[in-house]
Amino acid sequence: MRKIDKYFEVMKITLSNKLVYFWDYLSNNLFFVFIMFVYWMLWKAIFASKGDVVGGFTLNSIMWYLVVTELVTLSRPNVHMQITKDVKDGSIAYLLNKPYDYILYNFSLFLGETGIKLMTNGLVGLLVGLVFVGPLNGANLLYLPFVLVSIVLGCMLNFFIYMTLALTAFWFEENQAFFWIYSKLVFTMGGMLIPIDLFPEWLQKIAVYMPFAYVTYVPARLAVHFDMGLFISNVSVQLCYVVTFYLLANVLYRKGARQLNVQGG
Amino acid sequence: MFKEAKGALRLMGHYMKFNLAAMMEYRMSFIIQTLGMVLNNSAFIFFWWILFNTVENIGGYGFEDVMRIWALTSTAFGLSNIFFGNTRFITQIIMTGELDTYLLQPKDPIINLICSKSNLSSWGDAVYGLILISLVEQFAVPKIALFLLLSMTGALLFTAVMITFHSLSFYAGNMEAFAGLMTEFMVTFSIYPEGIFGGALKWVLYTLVPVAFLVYLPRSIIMNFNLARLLLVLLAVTLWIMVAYVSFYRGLKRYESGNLIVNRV
Repeated sequence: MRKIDKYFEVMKITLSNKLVYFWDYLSNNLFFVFIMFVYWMLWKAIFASKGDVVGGFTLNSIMWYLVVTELVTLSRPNVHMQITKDVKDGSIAYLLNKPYDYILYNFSLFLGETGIKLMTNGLVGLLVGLVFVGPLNGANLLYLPFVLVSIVLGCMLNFFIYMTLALTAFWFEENQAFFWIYSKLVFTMGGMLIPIDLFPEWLQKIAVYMPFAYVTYVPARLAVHFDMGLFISNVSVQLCYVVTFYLLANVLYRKGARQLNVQGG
Repeated sequence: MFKEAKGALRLMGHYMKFNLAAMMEYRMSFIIQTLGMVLNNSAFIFFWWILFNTVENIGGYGFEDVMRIWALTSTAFGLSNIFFGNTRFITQIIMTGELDTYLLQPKDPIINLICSKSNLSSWGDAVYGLILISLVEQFAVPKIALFLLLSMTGALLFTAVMITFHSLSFYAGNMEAFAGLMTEFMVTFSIYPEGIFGGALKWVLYTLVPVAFLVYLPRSIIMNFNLARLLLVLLAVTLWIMVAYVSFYRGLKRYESGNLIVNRV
């Protein structure tokens, strides 16, 4: 139990550090408001020419869907940039002998920062949704805890994928392109900007099996069209992907650390 | 006037030469970043392809129209960051007192300042736009030539607007977040069809955030050449350059030097 305590402390310290900037985070959410405004304009134009329902979504549900996908992606801390830097500049050599597991340590940092970002972005998202399209049609507060579980799992999966990509710095001098490509895969195949339900059927079949959909599409879809059976099956897959990428990050870290060669001091 | 312009162009040429030489030092990194950015931008084709599968027309634009404004934005933004890559750091340079270094050198401070850095990944943006327009216009040379001209005016416009917003830091303290938000406005508004934005916002897009002269008018000029419209674009760009010059040099009179010692090698 004591082993977990130290990670809990790291998370608590990060959370309290970030809490100091609660109002800063809140005011920095102008981008969230702005991008939701642009989506609102775009989808209003689409619904105006296509009718009230497009791909099973109404203007109300598509906007709430986008609030959730943006919430997950905007709540990501930049821990992966620090990891890349640690590996590139050799600082990781000083972290190897610390009495903690490097992956879990970073995960604790992630939990602390994402906690506060989810709170502030959640507040802004709620406000944006209410102002633009009013309350979500058919919303039931009883589903909220289940949706939140899926949102948190989406954030965790996103973090472990970023971490896996960051650890490739052990082998690649320049790994920024991996982050761009991954973020665009979430953007497209993950249904971040456009629900997978609107894809051509053949592409839907591929997209629903890929991990990217479990980062953004699954939590957002559950938020607007909740179904308990779907929740259980989707969250099980989310959990499997989280564990898979956690293990993959561990393997990369251990392999990378074994062959690490730092010059100077 | 003519002599000054010639001097400014010569200085830009020298900076470009040095920046290119610096990039070639890390050739692989340059290639990866360029290709990564091309791939990164290509994800948006997917987004619009899915949307136009659902609806034929969005805000008066078809799929190819959106690709045209995307190409213009991408290349204009890319060229601005290749030739004037230091523009986005103006506020930071003013606030830290680093501006002293540029003032002490016997060249036009603003040209010296904005040209002294070039952004590596922006080559990807510039190349991407060119590839995209070549495909959309089926390699029609006159249209591609017009595109290049309008991308250059777009790059000048984009840079002038950014200089103006960053120059506000001379008057109102640290305006980095505001200037960053305005950049975000410019880029985001310029990649969506004009027709989805209505009312007062349309006026903003023709004045304060002059996206109309960056993409809307240039798109129509590329499709059907119109000299009057081209002259209008050139006039708008000239006006914005004048505004940028005046805001920077008037602001400079309020600049209070710091005691920072900077060594530019």
